[in-house]
Parts: sequence; C-alpha cells; structure tokens
Amino acid sequence: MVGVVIAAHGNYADALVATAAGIVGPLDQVVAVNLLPYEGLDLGRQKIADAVRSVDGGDGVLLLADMFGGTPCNCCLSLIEEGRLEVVTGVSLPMLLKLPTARAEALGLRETAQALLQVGQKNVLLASDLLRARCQAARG
Amino acid sequence: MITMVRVDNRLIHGQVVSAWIPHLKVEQILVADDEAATSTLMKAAMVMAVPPALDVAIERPQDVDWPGVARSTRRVLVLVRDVAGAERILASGLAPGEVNLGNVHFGEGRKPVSPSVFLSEQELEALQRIASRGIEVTARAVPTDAKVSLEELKVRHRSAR
Repeated sequence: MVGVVIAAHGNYADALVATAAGIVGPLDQVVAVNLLPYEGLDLGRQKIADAVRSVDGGDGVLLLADMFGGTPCNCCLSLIEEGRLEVVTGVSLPMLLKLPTARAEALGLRETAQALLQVGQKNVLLASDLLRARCQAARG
Repeated sequence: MITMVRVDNRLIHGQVVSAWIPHLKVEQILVADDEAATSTLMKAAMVMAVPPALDVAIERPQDVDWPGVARSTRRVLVLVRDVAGAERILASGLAPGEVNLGNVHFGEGRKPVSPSVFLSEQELEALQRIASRGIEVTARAVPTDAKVSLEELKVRHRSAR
C-alpha cells in the first residue's frame, strides 16, 4: 500500500485528515505533518522525513503539500532523492476522499499521485456559474 | 538597491513570494545561505516557486559581490537564515534601510518575542549593533502586520520565559 504524508501550514494537515476520516473512515498509513509558524526548513524536513519512514511499507510514499512554493512543499521536494517519493501540491478534501478507492484499485505510487491530482483539479470550479448555466438550460 | 534584508529561516516561501515581493516591488531575490547554495534540490525547489519574471540568485554569502548588489539599479530583496547571517553580510559595510525579522525559529537559548520570532541574548545584542549603525530593525512576518520595533522586542524578551 502506498503511504501518504500530508504536509501543510498550521494545523491544516491535521484538520484535513480528521475531516476526511469523518467521511470515509480511518485512513491507514496516512500521517499529517503540521508546520508551525516558528518552525524552520530544517525542522520541517526532519518532521516530514520521519513521517515518510513511518508510513513507508515498501510501495513508496505520496507527499501531499498544501501549496506549491510554500515551505512544506519545499521541504517535501528536498527529500525526493531519499526514497520512492512523489509530491503533489494543493492538497484538498476531495483528493483525500479519493485515497481509499485508489488503494482499493491497488494503484502504484505514480498512478495514485496522478489519480489524486486529477480529482483535485476537477474539483476546482466556479460552481455558481455551472448552476446558472443549468438553470438557464432548464428554463429553455 | 537593497530594499530590505530579511531574516527568515524558511528563506524563499509563501510569505515572501505572495506578500513581500509585490509589496516591495522586488526585481531580484538574493538568498545568501551556505546550505541552500550547496543543495541542488533545495535550490531548484525554491527557484521553481518564484514567478519566472523575477531573477533569483542563491549564493554562499562569501561569493556575493556585496558592493555591487548595493549599487544595483534593481530592487533586491536579500534573504538570510538567521541573525548571525545578517550580521555577517552587514559587516561588509552594507547599509540597507531595514533589517526585517520574519521567521526565526525556536532554538536552544532563544525566547519568544513574536509568534514567529525567537531570539537569544546574543542575537538581541547583534541586532542592537546593527541598529546603532542607523539601520531600522523590526519584526514583521508579512507587510500587513504591525512593525515591532527593536525596543519593543527587548521589552518582550525581558518578560518572556
């Protein structure tokens, strides 16, 4: 099973994992890493590296960071030569909700990364515009 | 010209890219840091995070032509990891208008003076030496935060545990 580490600013990672677990049930081999305002690059790297080790069951680890260019992302990227790792940014609730299905399909590391990326991207929408278009179509 | 020297143990990251760069109208970022300059991965990750129109240099402090940077016609933001790093580059005679304390993480002997800044006695003394040269020293994570003066930082340091 592909391990997952969620690395984000503040308590976002914790909240995301707890919220996702509330919807799809407990997520195995998933660890949240919170990077707090007073924690620097070195500590961030260390916390993420420790988390990677704790979820790596031999099938690689998917790192999900909150923001491209942020410190959690920079720390994740600086680790990519230290194991079978992929990094996806812009982690969101829909991406985490996809995880149990991706695992049920026994997707490998890269396939899981791609599946979650796709779900994340598909869920960013100007939803009110979609609704207006539907209403307009219904009114003829 | 150097718009600001920022002490930030995260170097290039979200606060710098989304808040300080537009606020200061930065045209070049200069990271003066031994560790970042020698780590290919860290260097690449940080450069990737910056808008492509912006010039980024990540160098070891001793490799930088500081008088040249001071004379530059572009607006340069200098990033260093810690207070010692700031004092080291300022020793070359550099006189920026402001030294900003952004993120200085907790460490042995450091006490909190703001949510993201922890300072030791020695670091406060170093900052005082910088301030006595007429350089403004303040703590502020992002431009919309209120500036906290060095005097206020000293007061907080005295009462911090």
